[in-house]
Amino acid sequence: MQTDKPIENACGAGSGTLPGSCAPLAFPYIPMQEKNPVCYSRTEALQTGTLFPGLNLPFKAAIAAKMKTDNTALAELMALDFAVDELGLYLTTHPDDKEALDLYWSYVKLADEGRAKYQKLYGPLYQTDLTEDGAYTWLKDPWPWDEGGNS
Amino acid sequence: MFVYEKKLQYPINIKTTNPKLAAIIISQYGGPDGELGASLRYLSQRYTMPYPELKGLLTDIGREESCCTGICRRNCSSPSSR
Repeated sequence: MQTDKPIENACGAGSGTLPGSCAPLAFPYIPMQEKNPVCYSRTEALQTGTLFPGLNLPFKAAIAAKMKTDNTALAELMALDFAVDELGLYLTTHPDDKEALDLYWSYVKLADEGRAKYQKLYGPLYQTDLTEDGAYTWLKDPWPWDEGGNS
Repeated sequence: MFVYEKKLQYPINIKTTNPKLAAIIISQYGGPDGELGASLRYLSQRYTMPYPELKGLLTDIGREESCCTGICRRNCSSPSSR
């Protein structure tokens, strides 16, 4: 009959094996992001993958080359939306940071303007966007996964 | 809850298509232990979360986890189908 005898292990319940000896299973180390963090410009943020230099920790083996972005209405809108997204995430855990909030609203405003500019040039971004003559252009190619739909 | 915008969040430029890698990525996304399942868990855990900041945090994480389909889509298509 099976008993509740613990499984024989050289290490205790809270530890695991390294080559050679036992060690605690994990040591999580998660520092809080400070208030008023330094920010990249929105274009640099999009190319780097984060708005905050403090969170830019590339893999050691990664090539330091930044992603190139075109100088298009879409790339500009992506950069603005990315900055809004990043600041939105930051504000969830730092809702009292007035400086970040001001920056957030200024980017939201610019993104609104960028969205209007993009729609005028390339068509609706939302199905509900009002078009100039009421034409239904939502189904027009290219979609974002099509050739040319991403620039 | 869900609003579709007809643009990518992030520019993608795939130089070489790789269906084998795409299969791995897509199972990480929608597979048994994938992002999609995790996303729904975060979004459900919100309902019993008493702290406002953490309601916001679970919403943020659940949303982020569920919005990366574009990457899989692009990686799967072969050069001839694009």
